[in-house]
Amino acid sequence: MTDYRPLAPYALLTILALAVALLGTVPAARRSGALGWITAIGAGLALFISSQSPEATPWLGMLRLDAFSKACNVIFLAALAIISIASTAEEHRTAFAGEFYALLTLSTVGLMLMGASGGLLTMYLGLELSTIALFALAGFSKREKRSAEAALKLLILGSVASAVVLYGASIVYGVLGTTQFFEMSAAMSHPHAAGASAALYFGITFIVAGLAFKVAAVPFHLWAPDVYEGAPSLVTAFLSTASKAGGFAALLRFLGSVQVPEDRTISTLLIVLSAISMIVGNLSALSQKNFKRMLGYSGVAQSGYILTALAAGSATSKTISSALMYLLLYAFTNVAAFLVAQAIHDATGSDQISALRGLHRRRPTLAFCAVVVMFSLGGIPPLAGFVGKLYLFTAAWDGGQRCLVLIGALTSVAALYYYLMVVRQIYLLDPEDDRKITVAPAIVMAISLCTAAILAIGIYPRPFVTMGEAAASAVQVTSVAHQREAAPVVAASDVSSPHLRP
Amino acid sequence: MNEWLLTITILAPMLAAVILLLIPEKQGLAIRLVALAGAAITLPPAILLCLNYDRAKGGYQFVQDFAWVPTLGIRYHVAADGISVVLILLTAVLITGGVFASWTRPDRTKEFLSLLLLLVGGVFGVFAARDLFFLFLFYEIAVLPMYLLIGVWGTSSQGRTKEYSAMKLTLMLMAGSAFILVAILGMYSYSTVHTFDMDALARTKFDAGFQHWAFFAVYVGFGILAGIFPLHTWSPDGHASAPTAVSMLHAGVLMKLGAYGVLRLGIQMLPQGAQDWSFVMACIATINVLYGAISAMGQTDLKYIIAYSSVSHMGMVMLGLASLNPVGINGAVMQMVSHGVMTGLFFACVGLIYERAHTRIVAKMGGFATKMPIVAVCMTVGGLASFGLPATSGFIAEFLCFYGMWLRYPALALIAILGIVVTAVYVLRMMQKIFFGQFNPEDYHELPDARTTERVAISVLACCLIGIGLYPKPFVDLIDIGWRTTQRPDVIEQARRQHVADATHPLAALLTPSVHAANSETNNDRNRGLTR
Repeated sequence: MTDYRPLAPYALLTILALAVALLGTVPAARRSGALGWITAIGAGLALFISSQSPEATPWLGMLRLDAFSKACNVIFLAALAIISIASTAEEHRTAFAGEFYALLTLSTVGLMLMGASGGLLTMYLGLELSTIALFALAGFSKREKRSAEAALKLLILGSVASAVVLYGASIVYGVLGTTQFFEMSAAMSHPHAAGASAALYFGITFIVAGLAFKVAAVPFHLWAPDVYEGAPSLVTAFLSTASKAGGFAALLRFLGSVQVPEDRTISTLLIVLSAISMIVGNLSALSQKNFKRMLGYSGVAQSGYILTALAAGSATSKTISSALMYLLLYAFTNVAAFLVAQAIHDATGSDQISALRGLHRRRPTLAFCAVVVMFSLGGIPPLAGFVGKLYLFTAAWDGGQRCLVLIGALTSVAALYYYLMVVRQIYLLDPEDDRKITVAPAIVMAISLCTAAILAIGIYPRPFVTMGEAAASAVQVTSVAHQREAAPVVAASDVSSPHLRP
Repeated sequence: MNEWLLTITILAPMLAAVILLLIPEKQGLAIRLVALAGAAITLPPAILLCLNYDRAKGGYQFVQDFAWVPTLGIRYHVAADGISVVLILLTAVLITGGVFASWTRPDRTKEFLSLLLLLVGGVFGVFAARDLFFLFLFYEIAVLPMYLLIGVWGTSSQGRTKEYSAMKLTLMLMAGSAFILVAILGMYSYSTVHTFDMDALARTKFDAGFQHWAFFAVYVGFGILAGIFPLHTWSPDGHASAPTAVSMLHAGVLMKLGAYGVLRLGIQMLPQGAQDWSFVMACIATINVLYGAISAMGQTDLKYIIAYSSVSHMGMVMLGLASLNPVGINGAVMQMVSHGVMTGLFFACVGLIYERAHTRIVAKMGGFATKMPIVAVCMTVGGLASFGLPATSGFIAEFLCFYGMWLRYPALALIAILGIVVTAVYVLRMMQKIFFGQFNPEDYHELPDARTTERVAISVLACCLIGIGLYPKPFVDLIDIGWRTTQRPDVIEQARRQHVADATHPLAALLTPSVHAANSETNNDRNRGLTR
């Protein structure tokens, strides 16, 4: 008898999505922002249930509900809750508010499935669920051409990426005869599997490439700046944090539990992805004038930082815990950054960095939060970004990726330039227009929450490191344990010697 | 109580910085009083640190140590030795003076003072930290607010906008941080223990190849802040653009962080690497001394003169450090203190002159001594200290630096001493032009002398210079004990053998009272620590 209780958060969110979509039919005047609050509370509730529920691996290990998936849920649900709160400010203006929250919630469910995936099938299912919802969300400002363009771009490129993942998965399945991560691990360590390694690496490379699209790593990043710029800021906030975290969760789950033997190929791939992401992302961001576009390129670079840890060897616990911690703090930081963009857009109608000019006089609290966010993205202590980046680089250095750490540290200096250019607009220059600007209280509240989280993680990172460590050991323990118990199973099915297939 | 002194010194200014943000901008007096309290409250602990430091025992004292993030090997570990307590005292004096100097600053005072105090909290933290994570964290906190302090409140001059200076300074120092970070990660990952704790790392034996490159990274990283040639270019622009209090603190204390970092992380933790690079360091320091002084001679803007003189004087600090012998190190730290007070005094005086005369171009000034005698006297004392006139703190400091270098590379010491001559030329010429030339009443209708608060601030600084010059022993003792008893165990052993050989030298005996006793004490301590 399978224990279905751990599935409660997933069920809750699915029901929530349907309920919110139904409630969206109530006229906007009569619900006054209630949908956003319902979604936020639902997300909070799901987070609570998820943290309390026991661990389980239902459905023959298709889902792995363990410390890792719980840690991922914290990231996704926190992003969902904060964005929902901020969206209440927009709710009366949005034509399809119910659908907006429903799609956002469904996308979150998809991401949670990616974090909890026990095999390629679940991973792909989660990937599709989250991405398809995002196609619609990116085009949510229907009357804006750029939004439509963003949606179309995401749709076409996203579909290609999904196809690439699926193609890779089919090759891997063809070689190994299984889609479950732990069985794959065992099959690979099997002596006869060695002959098929070229095809196997080909498949794995395709899977990694498809996921690299999701996390916007160079050279699969070209969609990111355009879509970030075109999509509504609230959607971009989700796209750049939770969706990216989902991609990394899948990568970590996949590379962490599948112990690829002699994985020089894979680590070389990750090293290259990481190095060029940091360099291209940071250098491209230097010349941007549009705030959201700049954040898009900065997000590419941030993916590069996280990839340094992954390149150091996906098997070490530091890699997984540091990446998870960084994704969590990055979720708070970048959501806040895009909410600032939203607030500025509401007030001035512009997305340019120059629209932030003199914010310290026009709205001091928002200016303070924005500066904290920029400094955190730049990795300045005592903010979260500093601890996170240091942790990532520690993991990378331990794994022997010293060159990557050097590249990361030096490109961070270049990155600081464009973050400081934003700070310069906010604090150093006086506004052309001295009037105060109004920002919706919901957005201020959401940004303040994020700022508080950035400070808290930065000053006292201990609980988050502990959470990451627990998640890391969950991934590894299952992989090691299953390797042992799964080995005989594979040996028995050896008759069909997968590697002999053409 | 003793173990809380360091934490109080670090947290008091930071707490005041947070409180300041909560006070409404209109409450001008309250803002200034809170800021002054936040700054001055660090003085009693700083003095207590110097007095309570047990000279017989030596080593690191006032220890506070608890786990922060155990899985990463991060501990909140603060402790101070003789060198740290002296530098903490210097910082406490300068920040108090700095708050006085910004007493009449008109715009956005609240944020200005808040950032200044945050920065100083970081400086205290660096001097006290015994954990590399916290050291780096405090270092960044000390460096970063400079961007806003110069960018918002600075002044543009000579075609260099304040935004340009601020950005240049920040990016160059952050590039230095990248090097420091790499060195720190290298040390962290070197042993299997994986700890940021500096005491534990001091027991790790780093191999020669590692030390070679790690020292280079530490030297370049911290050296940028110490203004080593040719990476000093941020310093003149930055100091010239910064408002008075910020220049005081930046040239007075922040540049010392760089030298302190090279000493603590480089020379003490990577002694072999220091030996490898000592000649390079000495050469660069010599260039610094001469180049800084010659550049200062060519400047017309008063602030640029002082800024280039800082480059020159920091060269002397690095010269002392590069000698790698106790005499030179003592000289280097003494020069840090001396130059810190001196340059703080200089920038305070320059601020006062600029506020009244509305120009910083030396050629336009003249005969100011009749109008502002106190400023003239104080600045002259600073000037005399800057070329090391006996009976000022500059003498003992520079003498020890040059003597230390003489013991190691006599030729470089001889070349560097020429810097003093050049310094004397530009300082005396500057003083003569500003204070003693012909006063032109048409240009300057009114030139009042310093106000009472400012008068107190600059006279105290000037008295410090003379006081230290007349009786440097307490400071030299503290520094010397600190330096000798906080070495790596293997280096102490080596130094003791050398000391026996050096003991015949009169100066060695003069400078090193009871070193043997102190050494054996620390060794006992260390043994006790190990058994525990």
